[in-house]
Amino acid sequence: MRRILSIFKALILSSWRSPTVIFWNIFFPIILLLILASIFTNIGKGVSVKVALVNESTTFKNTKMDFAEYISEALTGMTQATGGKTPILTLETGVTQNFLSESLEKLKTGKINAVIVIPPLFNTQVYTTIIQQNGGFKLFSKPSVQIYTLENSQTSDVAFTVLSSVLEAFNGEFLKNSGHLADLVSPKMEYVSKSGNDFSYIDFLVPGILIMAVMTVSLFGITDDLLVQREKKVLRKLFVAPLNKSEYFWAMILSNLVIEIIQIFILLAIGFWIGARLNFNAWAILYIVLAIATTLPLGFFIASFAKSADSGNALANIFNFLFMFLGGLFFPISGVPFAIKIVAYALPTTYLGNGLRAAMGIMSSPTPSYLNVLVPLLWAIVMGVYSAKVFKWEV
Amino acid sequence: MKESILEVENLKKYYGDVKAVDEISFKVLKGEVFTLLGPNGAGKTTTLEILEGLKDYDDGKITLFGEKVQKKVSRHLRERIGVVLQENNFIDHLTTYETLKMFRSLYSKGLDVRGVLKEVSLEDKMNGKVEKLSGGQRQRLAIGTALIGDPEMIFMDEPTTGLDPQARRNVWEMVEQLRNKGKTIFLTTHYMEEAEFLSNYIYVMDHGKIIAKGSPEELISSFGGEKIIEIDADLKSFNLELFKSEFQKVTIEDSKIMIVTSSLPSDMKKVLDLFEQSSVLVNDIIVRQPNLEDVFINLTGKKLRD
Repeated sequence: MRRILSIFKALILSSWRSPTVIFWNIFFPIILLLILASIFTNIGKGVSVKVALVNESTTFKNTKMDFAEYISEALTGMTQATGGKTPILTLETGVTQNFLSESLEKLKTGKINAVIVIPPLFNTQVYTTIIQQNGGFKLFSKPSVQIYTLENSQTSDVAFTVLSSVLEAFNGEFLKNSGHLADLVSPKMEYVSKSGNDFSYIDFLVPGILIMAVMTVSLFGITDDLLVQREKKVLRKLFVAPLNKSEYFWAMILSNLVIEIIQIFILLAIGFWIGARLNFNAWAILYIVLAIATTLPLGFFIASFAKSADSGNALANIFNFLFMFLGGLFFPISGVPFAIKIVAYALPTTYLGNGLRAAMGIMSSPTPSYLNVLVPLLWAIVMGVYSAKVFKWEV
Repeated sequence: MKESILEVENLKKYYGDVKAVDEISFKVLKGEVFTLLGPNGAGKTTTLEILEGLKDYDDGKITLFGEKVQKKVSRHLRERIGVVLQENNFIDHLTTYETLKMFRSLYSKGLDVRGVLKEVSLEDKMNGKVEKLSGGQRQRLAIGTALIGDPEMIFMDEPTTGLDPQARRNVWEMVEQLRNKGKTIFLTTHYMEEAEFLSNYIYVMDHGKIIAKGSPEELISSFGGEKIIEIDADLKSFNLELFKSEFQKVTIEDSKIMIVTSSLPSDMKKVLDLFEQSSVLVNDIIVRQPNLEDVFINLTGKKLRD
C-alpha cells in the first residue's frame, strides 16, 4: 500500500505539472462544451421567453374596471421589438379552460416557459379590495394571478421574473392612484415538472461531455502510463526497485481515477454555470462510475496491443473519436444511417450516454436500462480480462 | 577467504535460436568489483537483467545472498540490491528530490534522501526537474536511486556509456568510494580502461559464453612474454595476404596492423623486410606491452567496441 501510494503521488504530481495533460483532460472538455453549447443553443444572446396568458376573467368585461385587460395590454406591449432587439416576450393568449390545459402541456415539454392565469373573478376582487380599503365589506379574497413555471428551468425563471415585474408595475400604478398601502395583486407561483422527450441541447450535451472527458483521461492516461513509460524505460527503472507490477498498475488506475473525479467536478460546475439541468443522483453517479470502469480497461486494451507509444497514441485517438461521435455523446444518433446505427449500438458509450441522461431526467433512454448497464459492463470485463492476459510489461 | 554473495551455475537463457546466455557460471565475492566484459550483444545485459529481477531464466542455478532464486529475483531480494541501468529515465516533471524520495519509499529500509543527494553531488539540483538534468547528472541520480535502499550489492550496466570523459571519471570515483565502503559491485562494460581501472575480477563474455576470466593482471599476463607490434601505414596498395601468411596472430583494421609476437627481433625484421619490398608509406611502428583490449582481440578476433 505504501508503495502504491508513493507511485500514485508521483504520477499525479507528474500529470498535474504536465501542460499537455492539463490541457487535454481539463481545458479541452470545457472548451468543447462551451463551443458546442454556444453553436447549438443561444446562450449569450438576448433572452426571449414564451408565455401563455389565460385570461379567465369574466366580470366587468369591456368596462373601465377591466383590470385584467390592463395586464394583458402590458404583456402585449412587451412583445414589440424595440430598437432592433429581440422582443422580451412571445405571447399566446386564450380564455378557455381548454387553452389552459394545452398551455400547461406545452410548458411541460418546454415549448413555452411560463403560463400566467388570471382568475374569473379577478376584476371583482380588485374592485372590492379597493373598496375595502375605503371601509367596505370583506366579501372577496385578495386578488392574485397564478404563474406556472417549469421546475429547474432557467428560462422559466426568467419568464417568472418578467411576469412579476409586470405585476409590480401594475401594483405601482394603483399605489400611486389610490394611496393603497399593500400590494394589490400578488403572483402565486406554481411549478410544473418537465415531461416528454423535449430537452434543451445543453441538457443533452453535458452528460455526453462528462463521459467523453472520462474516456479521454482513461484512454490517453493509461496508454501514456503504460506505453510511454515502458518505452522510456521508466518502468524498468521502477521494477528493479522493490516494486511489483500490480502495485504500479493500481497506482496508475488510482491516479487516473483522481484526475477523472476532479474533471467531473469542474465540468459539473461549468454545466451549472451555463444553465444545464444537473439532476445528480445515485443512478447518475452509478453511470459515471460505470463510464470510468469501462474506459479504463479500454485504455489497458489499447496498451496491450499497441507495439509502441506512438501507435498507442494513434489508436487511443481513433478509439476516442469513434466512441465520441458514433457513441452519440454530442448528438443524438437517431438520425444517422442504419449502418452507422449498428456500430453505434455496439459501442458502450451509446449505452452510457443513454443511461446517464435517463438517470439525470433529461430524456428517457431509447435503450432498455438493463442494457445500459450490461453492455458497458460486458465491454469492461472482456477488455479487462483480455488485456490482463495479453499486456506485455516486457520491461 | 571472502564470503561469496552471488553464485551463478550454468545459467541459460535462450530466445528461440538465439543463445543469449549459454550456460555461464561465476561467483562474486563480497566487497569486490566484479566485471562482465564483452562487446555489444555478448549477453551481458541479459545476464544482468536476470540478476536484477527483470527477466526469468531458462535453466541453471542462481544463489543470491545465500538464497536460491526460483524463477525471478523476488522483492525481498531486490530490497537488498541497487541497480543502475544502461539507460536511466525517470517520471517526468518531478524534481530530483521528489524522485529520490519516491524511490526511498519503495524500500523498507534505506538512507536519508538529502544525504544521498549530497553523496552523488546533486544537492544544487534537488529542486530541478529530472528531465532537465544533463547526461552525467542523470547518471548520478541513477546511482543515487541505486544507493537509496542502502543495498549490499550494486549492479551497474555500462554505467559510463555515452558520458563525457569528465562525467566518466566522476562515476569511476563513485564506484571506488562504494567499494571502499565495502559494497559489492557487479559491473558490465565494453570499455577496457574502465574494466582495467575498476575491477578486482573480470569475466570476458562473448556469444553468451564466458571465454576468459581473471584479475586484469592475470588476463594480461596470459600473454606470457608476448609483445604487440602496431603498424600504422597506408595499406591501400599493399598485399595484406603477405602479412597473414607470415604471422600467426595478426589483426588488420583500416590503416592499422597489429601483430602479437613472442620473438620480437625476428618478427620485427620480417615486418621491415616486407615493407622494404613494397613502396608503402609507413607512418608509425611501435612496440608495446599487451593490454586488455589485446586480450580480447586475441580471444575473439574482434575489437570490443564493434
